[in-house]
Amino acid sequence: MKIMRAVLGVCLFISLGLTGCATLGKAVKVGGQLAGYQELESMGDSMEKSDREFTEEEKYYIGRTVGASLLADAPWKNEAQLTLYLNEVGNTLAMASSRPEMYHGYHFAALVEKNANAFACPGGFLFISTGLLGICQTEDELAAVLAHEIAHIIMEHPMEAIQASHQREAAASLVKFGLRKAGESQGELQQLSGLFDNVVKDVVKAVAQGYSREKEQDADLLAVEILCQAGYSPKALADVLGRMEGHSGYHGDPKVRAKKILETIETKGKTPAVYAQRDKRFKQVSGH
Amino acid sequence: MKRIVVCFILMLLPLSLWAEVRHVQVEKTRLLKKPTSFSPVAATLNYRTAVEVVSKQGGFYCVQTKQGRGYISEASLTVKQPKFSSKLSGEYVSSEEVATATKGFNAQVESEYRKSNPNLQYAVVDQIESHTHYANPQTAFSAFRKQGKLGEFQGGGE
Repeated sequence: MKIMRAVLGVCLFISLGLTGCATLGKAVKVGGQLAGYQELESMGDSMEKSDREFTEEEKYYIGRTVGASLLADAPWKNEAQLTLYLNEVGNTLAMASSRPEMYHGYHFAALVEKNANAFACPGGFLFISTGLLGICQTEDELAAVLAHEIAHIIMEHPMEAIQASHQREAAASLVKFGLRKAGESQGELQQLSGLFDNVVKDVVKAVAQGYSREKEQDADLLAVEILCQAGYSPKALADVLGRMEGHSGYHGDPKVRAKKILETIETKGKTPAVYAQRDKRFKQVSGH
Repeated sequence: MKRIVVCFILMLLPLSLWAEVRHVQVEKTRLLKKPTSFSPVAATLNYRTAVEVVSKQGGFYCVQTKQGRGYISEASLTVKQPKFSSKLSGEYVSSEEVATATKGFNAQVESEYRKSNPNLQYAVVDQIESHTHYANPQTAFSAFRKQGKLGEFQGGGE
């Protein structure tokens, strides 16, 4: 009888889950409660905690803090014309991607930093160093760099860098605190701040040091798609990578990455061509 | 055996009554006239707004809203209704909803975190955000795309 009640409870909650009302973890937990099985209830509780994912709003706040950390090491190149131009190119690419909107929009900015680097933070904050800007020779090459960073965000690479233990700890605490009423725990905010610190440090480390060869290649291939959709020449990504050799900061072997990109482009047939008008405006802003 | 059958019927019942609902998970989303990001915008929907899914085309949902039918990027919608924004600006919410909104990594947690990390450049992040916030990139950058033959204005290939 107990087993039947548990099955009934789980089934009912799975059925509610299909309409977006509950998760499998909650289903198992309630099934356990109905049957009076503590083990099942506890298993459901654990599953429910691991079900908790970071919301878009939370990713935005993580991204703000990662950005604030990067800006502590390299100042913002606060030039209105350059900032507008980066956002014109960046938003054109974002709109052509599978992730055209972020929680609070995309934000593109340049950092005063001689190393050739670019950073994609959760929540849509993207930075390019002046060193890398100096290597780009055309608008299409600048677009290629930004498309690669947008690809990292779409594929959630910065968020995937959060250590599993920190992810579990944060998820469990967020669920636990979410069930409490306001003011029930005075130290709750400090505890959340501590968990936030763990998460942010993991992301900062990954964003600054770069990702695995596989993730960089995945981002390159998605960048090719984004560039084609937007109307930029995808060959520009191979061109700019070809010029990266010997520059510190960028990740993976640029020659190997460029070769793979060109092989991919060959399979695509007709791709967008470069356009002189774009290079003209690039030169006006970059001063190249 | 009978009970098992009843359980499965109960489990499948909601599917037949299922009007697929999604919720906006970004602060503002554009309701588009066509299933492409470069399409003209029919209306703007706020965070948490519920929409009814009519169909799916590529990366876009065709949705029915109070403002009419249109298309929204799949990535801007979520199944589960998001909690209230921690900013709560201009929204009427109950004290219970305020309590719920404060659970998670949000403005309050950031504020607490800032106290122990004064070296972080949040002021510059705020400045960048205010300089680079575009209510509607579709129209804001239309001339840029046209001049560069990009997006909806792109032409030939190679």
